Amino acid sequence: MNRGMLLILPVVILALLITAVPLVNMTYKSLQKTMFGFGKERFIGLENYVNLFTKDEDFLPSLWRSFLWVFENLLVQLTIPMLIALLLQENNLFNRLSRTLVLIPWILPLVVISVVWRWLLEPNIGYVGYLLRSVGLNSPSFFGNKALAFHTLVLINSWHFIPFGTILMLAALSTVPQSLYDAAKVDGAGAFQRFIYITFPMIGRTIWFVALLAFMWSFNTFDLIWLITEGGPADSTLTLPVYIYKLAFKMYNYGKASAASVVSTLILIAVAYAYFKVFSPKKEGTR
Amino acid sequence: MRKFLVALMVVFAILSLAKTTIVFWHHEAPAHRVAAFQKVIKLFEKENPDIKVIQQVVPWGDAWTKTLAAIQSGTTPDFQFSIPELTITAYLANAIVPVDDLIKEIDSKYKYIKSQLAPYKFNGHYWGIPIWTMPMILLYRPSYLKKYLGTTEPPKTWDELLLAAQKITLLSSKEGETIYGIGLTAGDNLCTQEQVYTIMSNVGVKVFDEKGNLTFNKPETWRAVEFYKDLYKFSPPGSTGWAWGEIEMNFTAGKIAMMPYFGGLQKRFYEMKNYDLDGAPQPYPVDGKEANLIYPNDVHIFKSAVEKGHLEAVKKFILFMMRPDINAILTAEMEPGSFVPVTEAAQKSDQYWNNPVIKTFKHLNEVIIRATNYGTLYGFEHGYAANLAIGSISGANVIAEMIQKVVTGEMGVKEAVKWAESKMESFLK
Repeated sequence: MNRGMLLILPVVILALLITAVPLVNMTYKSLQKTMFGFGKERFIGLENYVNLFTKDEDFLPSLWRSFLWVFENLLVQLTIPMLIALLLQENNLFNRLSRTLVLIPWILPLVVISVVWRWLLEPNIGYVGYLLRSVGLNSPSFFGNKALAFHTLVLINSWHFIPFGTILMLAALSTVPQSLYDAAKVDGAGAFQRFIYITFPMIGRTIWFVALLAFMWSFNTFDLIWLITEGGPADSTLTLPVYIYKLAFKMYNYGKASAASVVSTLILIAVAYAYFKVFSPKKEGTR
Repeated sequence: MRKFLVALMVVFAILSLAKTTIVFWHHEAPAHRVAAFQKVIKLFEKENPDIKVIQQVVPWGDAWTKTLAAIQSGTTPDFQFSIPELTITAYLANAIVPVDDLIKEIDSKYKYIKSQLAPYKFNGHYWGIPIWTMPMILLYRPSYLKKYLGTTEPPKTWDELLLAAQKITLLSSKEGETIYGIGLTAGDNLCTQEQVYTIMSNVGVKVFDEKGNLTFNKPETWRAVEFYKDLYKFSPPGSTGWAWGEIEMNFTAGKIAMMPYFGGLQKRFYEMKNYDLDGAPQPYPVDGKEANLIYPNDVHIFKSAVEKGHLEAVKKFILFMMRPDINAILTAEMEPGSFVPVTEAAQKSDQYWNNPVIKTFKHLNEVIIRATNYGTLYGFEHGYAANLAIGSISGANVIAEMIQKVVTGEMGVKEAVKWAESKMESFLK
């Protein structure tokens, strides 16, 4: 073994310990009939997986809801940061101040965000309800209405992510040479054309990266949903991570929860692989 | 001098070796509750210098997982404060010992309220010792009843309750105020489950029959769910997303006139110097019965206490906690109106009634004490645990989920009750 390999060995071992071991353990548990704390485990092969896809009335809807959750989050978390970044691109005092202020949601812990928004949006004694009533409008039930709860949570989750996306986009925008814009202006390109033909391709790699992060983080969102709605009302915000938590820690069905976790992991790996293969800007550039 | 110090150290070592140290877990994280436990411990240690007691706080959210993890790894404390579902979990994990002798002793000394023992009796033995209980009653704001109903008499029947809730909501709205007649939740949580069950208890809903077979999908359940649905129309919008915090804040803020709830809110009213609060027995239909939900909190003793030779010390401490003067610290002093004594002696004790909060809301607390006699808990309607699957059924919030489906219009009443029973069935398997 050469010296280079030896030097990276501790990191490889550590990485194996913190990723591979739990993964193997989770896969092993998914093949067992196990109720944590109650007696011995029993090998049942793929029964947990079969049950999830054929008998479990919550698994497939929660999986579908997770995809919807990711789609809506990506939509907001890619467009809004881009717009804010374009607005704050110019370097003046107002923008410098705004760039600092825009970071606030990012530095707040999710627990705080959950509690604050839960109370702000409470229809009867919350501040948003008060504002709506003061202009003659009725306050909707943001978290009690099946049609609203999901989208409200998407907006809160995105509100937390937007500063991060904005900072990355701003950093990317600052790398676009001003000379390109000047040349385009000379050629008669308007603002929209400059954005489409210069800005967008130049920061494509950052957008690609932000989208990947937003996808991974959104798919795994648990804390925000659990703290605000616990998956309700009537399961309308029950995404896959929330359902896995309920299976494991409310119903103690660790075998089934592990099977659902394996499915979730496989989905993430498959999407990440496809994303790298299909949408990688590197590939675009080499064509 | 050196010899003296060595001798002192030896004496100290012998003394500390002679002391029995017992450890218990409880799940009451707020600082004032921890302080109340410490007060009891201090008094006990004063009377029993050979026993040292250590309290460890495990928040409710972690109670199940930590208990099961401790059982699996053999690191359980000597005993633990609990509720029926957690005691059943510990029992099913084969980790606790029967406590019939303690129940008998406490009963003969202080006379247990019988309804409080039911949730801890399974397979012919008692497995938990009730320490305090939490009865749900109808809390109300007398001034709202007077203003909108022209009386301070609270409703006594379901019909009167529905009418009163409707009147208050509509009349206050006409006057441009936003007051809702009733406060009901429909969130996917325990709070909803308890409110729903209080209504169910009035028409004698039973989750299981005496042999432990499911008997939930019955006309009385449909009737209770239908009534909850009707009543819910006069509850604040948004309560499908509510849990404890929201309903308490709305009631305290004056947005709700009445609600089936625990009496613990009196402490907040007392601190705010707002005395517009009273309670009444939960209304019931003319052909129904006086009943309400109770949540007796117990302690169960782990097998590890026996293995370590701590059983006698643990029993001594439990008996100490049941002494009426000490029990008042854990009830009136810790959470007045919320934590209520479970023995006749403690319910009559001066220490309980002399607490300033209890004294201020005397009538409300008389109602609460009375409610301990009529209380019942889902799955324990026959005076014992008819089927131990009730722990998982309760943990999964099946009843709360059922109500959500009804009030959000996802399912009709009968369909939702049928759905709930089939969901419960899956836990039985």
